Amino acid sequence: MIDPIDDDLAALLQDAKPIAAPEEAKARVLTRLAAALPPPPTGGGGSGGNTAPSPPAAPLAAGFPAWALAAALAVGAGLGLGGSLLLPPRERVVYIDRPVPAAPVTVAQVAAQPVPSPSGLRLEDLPRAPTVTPSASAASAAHGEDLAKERAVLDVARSALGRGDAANTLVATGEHERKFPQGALVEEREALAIQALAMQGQRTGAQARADRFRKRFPRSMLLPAVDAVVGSGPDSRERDL
Amino acid sequence: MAAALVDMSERARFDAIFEAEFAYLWTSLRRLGVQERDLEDLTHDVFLEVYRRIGTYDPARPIRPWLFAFAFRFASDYRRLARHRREVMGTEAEESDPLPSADRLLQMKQNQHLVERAIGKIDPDRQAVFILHELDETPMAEIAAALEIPVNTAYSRLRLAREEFREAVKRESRKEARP
Repeated sequence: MIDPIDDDLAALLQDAKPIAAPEEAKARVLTRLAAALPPPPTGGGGSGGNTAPSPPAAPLAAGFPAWALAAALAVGAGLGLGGSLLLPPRERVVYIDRPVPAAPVTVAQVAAQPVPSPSGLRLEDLPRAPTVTPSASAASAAHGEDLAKERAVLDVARSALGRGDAANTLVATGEHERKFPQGALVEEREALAIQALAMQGQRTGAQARADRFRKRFPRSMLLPAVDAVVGSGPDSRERDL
Repeated sequence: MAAALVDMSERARFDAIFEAEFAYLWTSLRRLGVQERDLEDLTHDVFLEVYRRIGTYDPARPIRPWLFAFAFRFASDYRRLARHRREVMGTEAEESDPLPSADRLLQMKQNQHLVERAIGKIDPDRQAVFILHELDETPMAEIAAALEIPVNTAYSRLRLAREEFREAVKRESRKEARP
């Protein structure tokens, strides 16, 4: 009933098909949901069984710290929306502003923990997304301009690398580093620089920079390409020498 | 995924959906114009609604169009209420195999940004059909069912959305080419 989309647009769309989300965000949402939803019924949650079994009366699932759940509860209380329903009487919860580690935790594991007074909780009472202020939008516009400038500098690096011109790639990545030390495209800059160093035969420099890259961006989509250039991990240096 | 959900209790079904489809909902909300800083809250809100409506899900049908309908409604409210300006910030993509070069990966990321900006220029109702068909590769009959529209309307929206997308890509590409 309808023809396929044009080839050029199809190729473009292909690059936008991957589906991904940060594991840290998943863990945080999981924690908030575990605090908001009633616990699963005791005595089994159906015959499907593809979720983790509920550990009876365990303090919290292994690898999932108590402060993370406490933090989620405190967020709910702090917003003043249903906080009194979420928290047990006389229990004091302190909010600790630390990132939640990306532990492999299932909803069932967390939800099986003793969440205070979930029964009778109405979903309407739960915290809502924060309202975005005009100043935030203005900051976003500024961010967009910076991003365009960053991209322009890295385009120069990228085309130099494409020509096999490692020296000018490093000049451009150096310029990016000076102008945008904390930019949004630092990851791309570092990957380009590592490739350029490797192209110049600066094996030690490329390896050291790649090691820093792995520590800083452990889940980077550029990591496979970096590994392909310098080896698959910090140990590769010793292995190769 | 849908077949595996048939015999589960509603809670177990929700848990399985969260585990398997968190990234899908996150990505769908981003494609629908939700800004990076708001993605976590919106994803949380959508999953709460999914939990509330889990009893209405028919495991005989594919899960993603059903989930997308929630994402679409929440993203529509988000845009309408807060007049959020669409922007494309840092995004992540899955690694693909075989491994492309860093250069190619950077190009992919730029293309992803371009696609998301262009999708942002499509009329919201058509946007949903376009994303479901062109990115999620959902059959038109399923799209129509998930969005509760006639199949012919879905086709019509897709045709118009493609035109809007094509024009938007041209405009955005010209903007990028400008110094």
